Parts: sequence; C-alpha cells; structure tokens
Amino acid sequence: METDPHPSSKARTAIVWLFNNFERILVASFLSLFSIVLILQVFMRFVLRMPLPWPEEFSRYLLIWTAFVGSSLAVKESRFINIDILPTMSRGWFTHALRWTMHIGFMAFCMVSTYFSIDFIHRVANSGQVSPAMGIPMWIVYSAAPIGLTLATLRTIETLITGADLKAGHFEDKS
Amino acid sequence: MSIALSLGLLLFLLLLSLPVVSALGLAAFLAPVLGEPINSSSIIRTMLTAMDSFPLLAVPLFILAGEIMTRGGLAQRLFYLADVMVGRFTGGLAMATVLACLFFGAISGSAPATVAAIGSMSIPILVSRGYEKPFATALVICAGTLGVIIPPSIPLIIYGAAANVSVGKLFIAGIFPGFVVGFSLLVYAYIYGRMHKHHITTSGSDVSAWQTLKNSVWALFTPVIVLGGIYSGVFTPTEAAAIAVAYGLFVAVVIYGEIKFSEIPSVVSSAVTTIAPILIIAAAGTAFGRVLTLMQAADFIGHYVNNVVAGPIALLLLINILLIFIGMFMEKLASIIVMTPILLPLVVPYGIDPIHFGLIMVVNLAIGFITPPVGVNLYIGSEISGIPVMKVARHIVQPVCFLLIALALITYIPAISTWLPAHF
Repeated sequence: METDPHPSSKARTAIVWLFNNFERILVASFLSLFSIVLILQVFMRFVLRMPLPWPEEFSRYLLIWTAFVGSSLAVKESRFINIDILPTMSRGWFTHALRWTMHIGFMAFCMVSTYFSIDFIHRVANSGQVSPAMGIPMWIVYSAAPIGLTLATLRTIETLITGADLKAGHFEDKS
Repeated sequence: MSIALSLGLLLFLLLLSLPVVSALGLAAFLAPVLGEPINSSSIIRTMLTAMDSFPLLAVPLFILAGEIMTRGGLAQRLFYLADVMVGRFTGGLAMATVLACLFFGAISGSAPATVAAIGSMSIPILVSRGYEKPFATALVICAGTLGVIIPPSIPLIIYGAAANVSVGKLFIAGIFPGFVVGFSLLVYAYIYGRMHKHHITTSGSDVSAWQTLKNSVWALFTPVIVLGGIYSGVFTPTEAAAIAVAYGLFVAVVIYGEIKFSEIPSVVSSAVTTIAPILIIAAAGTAFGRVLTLMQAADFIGHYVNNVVAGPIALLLLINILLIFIGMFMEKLASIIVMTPILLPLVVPYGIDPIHFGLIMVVNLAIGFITPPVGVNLYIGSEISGIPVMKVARHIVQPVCFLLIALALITYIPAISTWLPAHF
C-alpha cells in the first residue's frame, strides 16, 4: 500500500486507506445489504407468509447506487470495459494520445451526465415526489447519478496523474 | 439520417477505445445535437430508471452466487462427477470438461466465470493425461459459453429487461438450447478423442463413483432449487438468485467448509470487482437504445433490410451474421441492450417469438465471447493456460464450427427454445 511519511500517525494511514477503498466498501455494503434484505423477504414471503412492503423498493434503489458508485470503482481500479484494438496495436506517442482521448472522453460523459442529472434532480425535488413504499424523497435516490459520476471524474483525474491504468497493463494486454 | 450518424458516432467512439459506457452515453447525449428533438435530461432519467428494476437485481446476485460457488469448491466436485459419468469413453476426459461446464452453467450465469472455474482445474488434468494443451484450452473456452446459455444467465436477464420479456420464461427456454450446444461440443470432444487416440482416460481420482456423487449432490441441488423454483412459478428469478446466494454460502461454509466465515468479505469483494463496470454499461446502453427507439431506428433499418431479404429464413441468416460480427468486436451486454430494440421489431412481424429470438441473440453473443479480437473467454483461457491468445485462437476454429451448427439448429428450430416455456 501507500508508504507513510509519518509512521507514527495511524489515523493518517487509516484515512489514506479509506480514501483508496471507500467505493469498494460502499459497493460491497450495498451488495451485502440487498442480498440480505432479499433473502429476508423470501423467508418472510414463503415461510412466514407475510411479506414486508419495503424490501423490493429498497433493493432497487440500492441497485441504482451500486451502478453509479460502481462506475467510480471501475475507474479507480482501471477495470472499465473498452474495445482495445487500437491500444494493443499502438506504440509510443500514439498510445499516449489514445490514453488521453479515452480518459477525456470518459470525463466528458461523466460531466455532461452530471450536468443534466442536476437539472433533472432539481425538478424531482421541486415536485416533492417520494417513493411509494418507504416514502423517501426521490431526489435522494436519484442523487446517485451526480455523486457517482463526479467521483468517477475525480478518479479519472487521479488515474491520469498517478498512471494507475498504465500499471494495470491497460495498454499492453488486457481482456 | 441522424440514425446512421448516431450509430456511426458510437462506432467511432468505441474504436477510439473510449470505455463502452461513455461511448454509449456520449452517443445518446449527442443525438439532440444532431437535430433530434430529444430532451437531454430524459437521457439521464432513462439511465436512472433502467437501474430501478427488480429483474436486474438478479445480475449482481447471480454474480455473487457464482463467486461463492466457485470458491466454495462446487466447480471441482462437478468436474469429478462429470468424469465419473463420461470419463471412461474415448475422449472421455475432454467430454467431462464439456459436461462440467454444462453443470456449472446451471449454477453460474457468466461465461468467463465458467471458463475460469472449470478451466483452472480441467486444463492441468487434461494435459497430464496426454491431451494437447492448446486443445484443452480451446475446448474449455468454447464450453464456457454454456455459462450464459444454460440458465441462470446474465445476458438473458439483460435481454429480458431490454425486450420486456419474462426472465423466468427465458431461463426455462435456455435449457434445451444449452443441451444442444453442450451436445455439439461433446460430439467434437469425442471425434477429437477418436482421431488422436485418447483412450486412456479418467482423471485418476481414487475416490469411488458413489462417493463422488455424494460429494457433488449439494452442488447439483443448486439448479434444482433455482430452476425448480422459477419453473414452478414459486420464485421470480431475482428471488431465486437471492436463494442461490444463501444456499451457496450454506454449502460452501457449512457443508464443504471451503470458505471460512472470515473469508466471506473477500468473496463479496471479488464479486464487487466483476459487478462494478457492468451495471453502468447497462444503464447507458438503455439510454442509447431509447434514443434509437425515439429516432425510429427499427423502421429505418427495417426499410433497408426488407429490400435485401425476403422471408424469415434469410432475415435470421442476416441477423446471425450481423450478431456474430458484432460479437467479435463489441462488449456483449451493451450489444444486447442496443441491438434488441432495433432487431426485435424486425423479426416479430415474421412470427418469431421474442423468447426464441432472445436465445438466438444470446447464443450468437456467446460465440462472441470466444472469437478474437474482443473475446473475454479467449483471454481468460489464455491467462489460465499461459498460451498466447493468437495461438489459442487458431485452435478454436474447429470447436466453433460445431457451435455454429448448434446455432443454426437453435435459430431454425424454434421449438428447441419455445417448447419448454410453452408448457408452463
């Protein structure tokens, strides 16, 4: 992991670790949560015969968050899926040009989506729409898009600076 | 016109090696720029509501279940069971590999995961029994496609969401096409075994047949619960996936003891690695598919296609060629999401059942998992065996021919897909 210039400060190491892993922790928690909730619901429905009103809705909303925070995790770990015909054939400056094109294209997508999602969320918030079963304001659910994609943008910048995608072998041989 | 521009733009962005999600998303957002009256914030709404889907929850759940079953030693036990069943025949160990993939396909919804689970175990054994390593690798790469054809299947869940077809029915429909594909590869393995005189067989396991069956019965019970539940209409596929997670954990932790309680977080974590990049692709793909629908892409393409082909036989042939070609270059889930709204309206007027068409698409794209340059199975297989991709690619030609025969049967005999779901 990261080398710590101040070996005494455990808190610092913890923060660095958290900074490097929070998306993974979040997505793993979402996945575990909706797995448990859905298993519970199956139990309630088929064993106790009294299904709860909220698990389906709760799980679907967690899926939205999983998808968008997951996109940031995919960037962080250089695991996003692309067609790598050109990168595998390219050499030298062309490789670098492609790498920048790829990351800038991805950031453009994230930023355009974030921009329009904020507009969309504004309208949802003004309409006062809440979810049918749990009564949570829908703008909270839909905030997954701007939050996840902003994180993804920041992670892309981080990747460009640290060159983590190069270390991950993204430009030589990837499946 | 703007339809051709949009599709061209998507291809261009993909070729520039942009992540698939951003190529789809940017192509969707640029449609209004190309003069289509589409509201940009409706694109982001489509991305969000695409994920607000109960059927799609089955995707991460089946990935998690597959991860648990692989680490829990279920794959290994299924391989030994397959070996007991067919190992004594000519080419038996190769046939056992195919059969193990078929069994594992019934508990996993992913093709690359099936290659990894069965291949990492079967390739060394096959090689130690005198089989050529490139053959062993190519075989498991091809048989791994059974992971997405035999239910559960992640591409079928995605197709169900894109085509608005019951995922449960698609799962039931996948069983016989899975057998057809499995059988075609069994025939290939047998012929290969005959030609190369692989009579000495079996993995040489000293455990008795009875013991092997007893060991694997817990693994074999997974499809019984999952498919039986869906088949009888008791569970939805998503509920079945949740049960598969719970049951898999029970077997792996309590019965087999292959996963320690403290190792569960690391199993969840590796499932997260697989899940992270794909859900957002499904979201962006749905948005782009919706844009194409608003542009009436199916009418536009249908106009051209109907000039070229007459009748369903030629149309399906054309679609198969197109899908194999797309499968070679494109990420598979995105292909399903983008191509379904274009192709399904073309075939429905010819009386082709959407369920049957779903199987045609998935088998085609399953072949896309094998074929270079973008074939995930191929890369995983090459990684496991340490043989360069291009060398393995030469050896997939023969088994792929057998898969194409299976594809033709599945395409032109609708009953293979539609008979079983029609009876429930």
